[in-house]
Amino acid sequence: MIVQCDLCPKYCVIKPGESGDCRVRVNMDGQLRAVTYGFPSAVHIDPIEKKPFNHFLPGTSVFSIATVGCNLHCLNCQNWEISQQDPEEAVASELAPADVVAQAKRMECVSVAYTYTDPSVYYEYTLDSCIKAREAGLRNVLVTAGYLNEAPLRELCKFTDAATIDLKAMSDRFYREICGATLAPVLNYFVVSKSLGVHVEASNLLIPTLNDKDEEIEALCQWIKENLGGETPLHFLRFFPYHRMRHLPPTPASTLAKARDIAMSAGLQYVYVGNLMDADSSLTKCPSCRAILIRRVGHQVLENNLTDGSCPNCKHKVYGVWK
Amino acid sequence: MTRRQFNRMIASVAILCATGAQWVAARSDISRFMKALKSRTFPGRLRPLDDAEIRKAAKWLG
Repeated sequence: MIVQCDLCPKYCVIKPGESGDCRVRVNMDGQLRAVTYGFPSAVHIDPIEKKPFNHFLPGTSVFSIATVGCNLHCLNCQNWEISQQDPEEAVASELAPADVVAQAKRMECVSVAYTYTDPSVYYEYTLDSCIKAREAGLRNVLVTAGYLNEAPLRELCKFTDAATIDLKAMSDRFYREICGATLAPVLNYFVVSKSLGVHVEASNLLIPTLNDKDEEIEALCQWIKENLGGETPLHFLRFFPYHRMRHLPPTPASTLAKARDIAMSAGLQYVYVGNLMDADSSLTKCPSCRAILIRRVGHQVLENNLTDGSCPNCKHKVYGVWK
Repeated sequence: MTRRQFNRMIASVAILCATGAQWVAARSDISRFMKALKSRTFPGRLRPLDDAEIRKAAKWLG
């Protein structure tokens, strides 16, 4: 019997014995099965700043897991070794949701991140782990491209504390040609998760010649400001030539600085640059009095001057989850 | 039969053999894959999870 997967906007029609576009959701005798459930291919402890999150429990460690597979096929994918791998070729460890929580607590992590590939394709594993983690007093964070249908997203948001969502470009054409996806569901993911009380941060990987035009960056920033609010942190990430896009150079530091200027001019209050060591663009400053609130180097927090989530100087409340 | 016709025939047979071998290999892969799924085991390789593996910050981004 043929089945249709309605988890993501691709709505794959899957024949018996075959998998959907994500490689990991298989029609087994007429039943759709997520074959990587409980078998992450990456289990590590990262600084939360690496996700990237700059306004969510800064300076803490996050227990990070990922299974193979992804519903996007970005030509520039930086984690393609696991995201574009078939489950039968993958090396994985057995880790049930209860074990995820136990290991996270044992390693003294305060949150669990569903990351590296995309938690959308290992949805059931993410959801069950989120429920267990929340019961155990841990926070849940998603690092995602945001390509998920609204009904499963709403269910997942009940147990999600924060999400960093990658907005790859403000162009449907870019999504179709570079990522094998579409733009509208991603925008909806942002709006729905924010409206359900999830702490949201946005990221944008700037690829030379593909999505680094001033107008595109401006449109992206305007959309964030109008739909999510000017307080939403935005991370511009530096591209490195990986996977099927090795012919392009790394993003110049000047492009990232220019993008940051455009975003600040558009009214975004917290704009960062990632994948690049730059002291100034990794600072969190008070949007009201410009006092330095958090100083970082790389993924390390050197100084955190926030007092109860507010500026110690002018008492301005800073958007984020601080404890 | 000309030499050209003979060469074409050989090339066709070689392509047919390669396609057939590929088809058989693909079927056997799927059956192995499905067998693993039906027995509720991971279709890929499993590795033990040790502390050193977990503690290390991942090389992957995000």
